[in-house]
Amino acid sequence: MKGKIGLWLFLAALVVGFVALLASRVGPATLPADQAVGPFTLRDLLFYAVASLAMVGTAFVALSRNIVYSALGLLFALLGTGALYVFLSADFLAVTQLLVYIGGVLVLILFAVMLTSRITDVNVSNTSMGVAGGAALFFATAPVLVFVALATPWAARSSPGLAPTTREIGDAFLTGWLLPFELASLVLLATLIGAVVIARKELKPDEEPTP
Amino acid sequence: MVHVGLPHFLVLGALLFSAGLLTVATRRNAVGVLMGVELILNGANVNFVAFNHYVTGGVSGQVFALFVIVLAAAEAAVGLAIVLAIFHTFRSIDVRAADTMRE
Amino acid sequence: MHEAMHEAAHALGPLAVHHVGYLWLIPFFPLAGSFINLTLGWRWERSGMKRNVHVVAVGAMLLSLAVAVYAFFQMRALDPEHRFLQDTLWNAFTSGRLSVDFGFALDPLSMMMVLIITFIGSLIHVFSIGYMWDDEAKAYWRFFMWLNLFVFSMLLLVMGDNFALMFFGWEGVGLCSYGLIAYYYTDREKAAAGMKAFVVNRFGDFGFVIGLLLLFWGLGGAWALPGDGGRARYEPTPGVNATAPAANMDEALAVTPTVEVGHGQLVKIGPTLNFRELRDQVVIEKTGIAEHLKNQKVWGVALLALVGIFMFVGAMGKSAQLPLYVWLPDAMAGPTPVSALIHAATMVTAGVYMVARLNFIYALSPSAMGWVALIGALTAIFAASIGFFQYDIKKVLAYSTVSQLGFMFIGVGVGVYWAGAYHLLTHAFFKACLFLGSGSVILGCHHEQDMRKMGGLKEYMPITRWTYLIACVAIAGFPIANGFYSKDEILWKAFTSQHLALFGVPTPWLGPAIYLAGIIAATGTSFYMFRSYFMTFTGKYRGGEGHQHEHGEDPHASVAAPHHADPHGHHDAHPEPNHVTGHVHEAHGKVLHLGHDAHGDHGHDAHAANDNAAHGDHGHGAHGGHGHTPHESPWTITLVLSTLAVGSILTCFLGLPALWTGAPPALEHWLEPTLPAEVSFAHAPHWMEWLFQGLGVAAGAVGLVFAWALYKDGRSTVPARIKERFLSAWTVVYNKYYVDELYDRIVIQPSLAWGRLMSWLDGHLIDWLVNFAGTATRFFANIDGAIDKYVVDGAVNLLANATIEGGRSMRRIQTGRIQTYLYGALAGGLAVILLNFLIH
Repeated sequence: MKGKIGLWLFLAALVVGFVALLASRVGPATLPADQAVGPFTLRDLLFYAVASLAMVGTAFVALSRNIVYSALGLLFALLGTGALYVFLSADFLAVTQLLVYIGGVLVLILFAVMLTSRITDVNVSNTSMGVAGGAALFFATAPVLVFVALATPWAARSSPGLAPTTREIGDAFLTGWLLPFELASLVLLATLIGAVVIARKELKPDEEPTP
Repeated sequence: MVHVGLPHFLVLGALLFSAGLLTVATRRNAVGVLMGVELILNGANVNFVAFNHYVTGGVSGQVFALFVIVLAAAEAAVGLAIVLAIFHTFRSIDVRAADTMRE
Repeated sequence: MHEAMHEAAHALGPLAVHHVGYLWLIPFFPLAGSFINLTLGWRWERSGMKRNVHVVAVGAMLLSLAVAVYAFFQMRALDPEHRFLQDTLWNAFTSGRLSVDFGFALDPLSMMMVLIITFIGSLIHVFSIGYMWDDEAKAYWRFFMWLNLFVFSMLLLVMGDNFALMFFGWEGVGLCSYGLIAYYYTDREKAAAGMKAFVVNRFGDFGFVIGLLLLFWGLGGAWALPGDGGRARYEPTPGVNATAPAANMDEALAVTPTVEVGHGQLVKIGPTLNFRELRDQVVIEKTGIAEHLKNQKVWGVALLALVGIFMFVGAMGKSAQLPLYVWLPDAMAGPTPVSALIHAATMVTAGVYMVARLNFIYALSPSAMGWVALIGALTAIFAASIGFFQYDIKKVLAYSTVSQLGFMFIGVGVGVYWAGAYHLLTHAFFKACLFLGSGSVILGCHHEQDMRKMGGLKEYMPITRWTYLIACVAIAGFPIANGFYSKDEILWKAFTSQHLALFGVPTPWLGPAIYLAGIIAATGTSFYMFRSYFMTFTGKYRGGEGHQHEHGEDPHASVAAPHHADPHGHHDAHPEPNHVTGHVHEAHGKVLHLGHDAHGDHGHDAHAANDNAAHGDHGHGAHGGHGHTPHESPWTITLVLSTLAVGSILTCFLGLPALWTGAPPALEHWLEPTLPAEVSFAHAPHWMEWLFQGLGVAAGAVGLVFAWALYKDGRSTVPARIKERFLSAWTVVYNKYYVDELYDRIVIQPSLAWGRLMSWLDGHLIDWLVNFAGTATRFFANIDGAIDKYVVDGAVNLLANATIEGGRSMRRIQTGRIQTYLYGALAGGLAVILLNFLIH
C-alpha cells in the first residue's frame, strides 16, 4: 500500500490538472448550456451522452443473459432517464425518480434477483422467444413509434424555459389532482397489504420457512 | 442535426418503450419481465414529461409522471410478491414453468 | 180337352196378383225353429230337456203347415185365373235392369209344393223323434236344427218369386243336405259322402247359373245378329234392354219399357229375374218377346235350347240325373229320415219344380225338351238296372229314387208338366213311406241294412210290412195306389208327344222310344221293389247268423279278405270287392274318396249309416238288450207310416185320368194357370189309351211275378244260379257300372294332379320368387349397410376428426404463458395500427 500511495496521488493530480485545464480553457464563469460546440450546443451533447447511457442500460436489460447485468442495466436506464428529466425542467420528478424508482423499485428488483438467482441457472435467463421473435417484435414496434414521433407535426415550443416545479406540483397535488393523490395513497396501502399477503409463504407442517 | 427538441425525447421514449416490450415478451425470467415493465413505464414517463415541457405548460405531465412512478412502485412490489409466490408453487421463476393454464 | 186349354193360353193376359202379408211366415217358422235349436238346443240336450228340441222343431213345422193350409184355402177361394198370392218384403237391390226383391209368391204349382214340403216334412219330423231319440251321435238338437233349416231353404226355393231367391234356396238345400248327410261327420266315409253330394251339386249349380245368365241376356240382347256371318258379338237391343240408371225399384219401374196388351194392362219386357214378369212377357204373344227369344242364336245354337239345357244341368245335379246322380246313393250315409225328406220328397224334386216353373221357356225349345226327356228316360232305365242287385235296402230305394226322378223328367220333358208334378207328389208319398219303412226295418233289426240278413219281418213288424207293401204297390204302378196314375199319364204323353227335337232336328220317334225305355224301367222298378219287399218281409229271419254263408254266394269274397273283425256280429260285414281301390274301409290315402269308400262297400253300409248308435238302445221304446229279435217300431214311426200309406192311396183321386172321368184330372185343373206352355200331342183314339194303361199295369205285374218267383220266402235258388252264369255282367251292374271309378279317373285324379302342380308351382316358383326377393333385399341391404358404415359414418367421423384435430392444433395457442398472450395481443394490435397507417 505504501508504494501505491504515490500512484494514487499521481492519478488524483492528473484528474485535477485535467479538470483545471478544461475549466481554464472554457472560461472562468459557468458554461451556458447553449454555448455552441461545433454544430451542437453543449446541451445537445449532454443530452446525447445521457441518452446513450440510458440506451446502453436498456440494451443490457433487454438483451443480457445474466439477470444481474439486466438489473444493473436497468439502473443505468433509470439513471439516464432521471437525468433527462432535468433537461425537461422536471427537477422534482428527476429526484423522485432517483429516490423512488432507483432507490425503491430497483432495490426491490435487485432483492428479488438476489433472492431468486440462486436457483436460477443460465438457462432460465435465456430469452424465450428467440432472436427472431424478439427482433420481429422490436422492429415492429419501434419504427412505428419513431415514425409517429418524427412525422407528426407537434405543436412544440421552441425553447421553453427551465424553472423549478416543486411548488407547482405540490399545489397541483392538493388542488386539481387531489383525488388521484388520495387514490394513489389508497393504492399504495392496498399494494402493501397485498404484497405481504401474496408473498407470505404458507407454512406447511413439514416445511421450514425458507430464508 | 437539429437541436435537441421534442422529437428527440419522443424517440427516446419510443426506444425505451420498445425495448421494454421486447424484454417483457422475450425474457424467461419473471423478474426480468418485471424489469421490462419498468422500462415501458419509463418510456411513457419520458413522453409525458417531454410533452409537458414542450407542448403544454404547467405541471400536469409531471404530476402524471409522478403518479406513474408511484404506481410503478406499487406494481413492482406486488409483482415481485407474485413472483415469490410463483416461486414457492412452481419452484422456479421460469415463466414457462407456470403454464398450468395451458390448453 | 187339351186343345181347349191351349186356346185358353192364347187368351191369357198378365197374371193378376193378389197381395197378402203373411206368406213370409211359412218359411219363417222353420227358420226360427232352426235358430232356436241352434242356440238353445245343445243346452237342452245337455240338461235333460231334450224333448224341447223336437217340440220346437215339430211345432215350427206344424205352424208352417197351418199357414200353408190357410194360404191354400185362400187360394181356393179365388178365381182360377187369379190364383197368385204375392208377398213382397223388400227390395234387395236394384241395379240397372236387374231388380231383385225379397218376396214370396204362391201360385198353384208352388202351393202344391209347399203343401207337400210342409205336410210330409212334418210327418218326417215326427218320425225323427222316434228314430233319432237314442242316436249315438248325441246331437239330437243338431239334427233338428239342420232339418228345420233344410225345410226353410226348400220353402225359399219354391216360394221365391224370382230366380235369385230360388237360387238362394237352391244352394241352401244343397248346404243342408251336406249337413244332414254328413251328420255323422266323425266317420270319414260319411263325411266324404256329404262332400260328394255338395260338390256334385255344385257342378249342377254352375250349369244353372249359366242358363240363368243366358236367359237374362237373351231377353235383352243378341249374340250374333242374323246375317252377320255368325260372328259372336253381344249387342243389347236398345229398346228392350233399357238400362237407365235406377236407384230403387220404383225408379227401375219407371224406366223399364212396357208393352200394352189390351185392357190398358202393361207388361214389362226385357231382362228380368222375376218369374211372373218373365212368364208375362214370354207367354203373351203381343210383347213379341217369345219370337225375339226364338230367333236368337249363340254361336249358331239356339239360345233357348242352351238355356233349357244349362238349366237342366242344374236340375241334373240337384235331382240326380245322369251323369250327376252319383251323390244320391252315397247320400244314404245320412240318417234315414234325411233320406226320406231330402232324397225322396223335397230336394231332389227341386229340379222338376224348376223345369215345371219354366215350362213356357222349355215349350219354346223342342230341343231342350227332347234333351230333358231323353236324359230322364236314360236315367230311369239306368238306375233301375243298378237297383236290381243291390243288397242294402236303402241303396235300392236310392236307385229307385233316381229312376223315378227320371220319370218325372220324362214327364216335364215331353211337355206334360202337370203329370210330372203329379208324379212328384205321388212319389213324395210313396217314396217317403218306403224310406221311412226301411228306417223302421233298420231300427227294428238293430241297424241292420243288408237285406240278406233280413227276412220274415212280417211277423215282427206288421204295420211296417203293410205300409211298405202299399208303397210298393204304388211305385209298381197298380191302379189301387197313386203311382199308376201319374206314371201312366207320363208314359202315355211320352208316347204321343209331337214336340220333341234333338239338336234342332225334330225327332218324332223319340216319344215312342222314351215310352219303351219307360215301360222297361217300370217293369224293372216293380221287380226290384218287390224283390226288396220279399227279401225283407217274407221267409225266415236271417239276421244275427253271422256272415259265413255270404262267402259262398259272393265269389269275389276271396279277393278281399274281411276287413273288420268286430265282436258284434252285425258289424263284421262282408267287405265288398272293390277292384279299383283294392281295399275296403281304410283307404284314406286320397283326400277325396268320393264314391270309393263310401259307396264301394255295400256291405259296409250295414254299419255305415246308423251304426253309430249303441247296440243297446234302439228306438224310442228301449226294448233293452242286444237281442237279435226284430221288433216293431214305436208309435211315432208307425203312425207316420200309416199316414203316408193312406195318403198314397187317397192321392189317387187327384189324378184320375180324363179317360175314366171325362173331365180333366183335379190336379191338372189346379195347375193349369201356372202351365201356359203350348205343347202339342198326337191325338190318339181312346182304345189306344186303354191299351197303354193296361200295358202299364202289365209291366208292373210282370215285375211282381218275377220278384215273387225269385225272392218270395227266399226259397228260390234261381237268383244265385243266374248270378253264377252271368257273373261278369252281374259284377258290372253290381258295381254301378263303375261310374264312380270312371269319375275318379276323369275328374278327380286330374283335379288332384292339377292341385299338386299348383302346389309345386307355388313351392318352387312363387316361393322362389319370394325368397329371391328376400335375398335381393338382403344383398342391397348389405350394400346400404356398407355405404352407411363407410361413407356416411366416414363423412361424419371425418368431420368430427377434423374438428378434433383442428381443436388440438388450435389448443397449442394456449401456452399458458403470459408472454405468448402478450405477444399475440401486441402483434394483433400492431397489425391493426399498421393496417390503419397503410390504408389511411
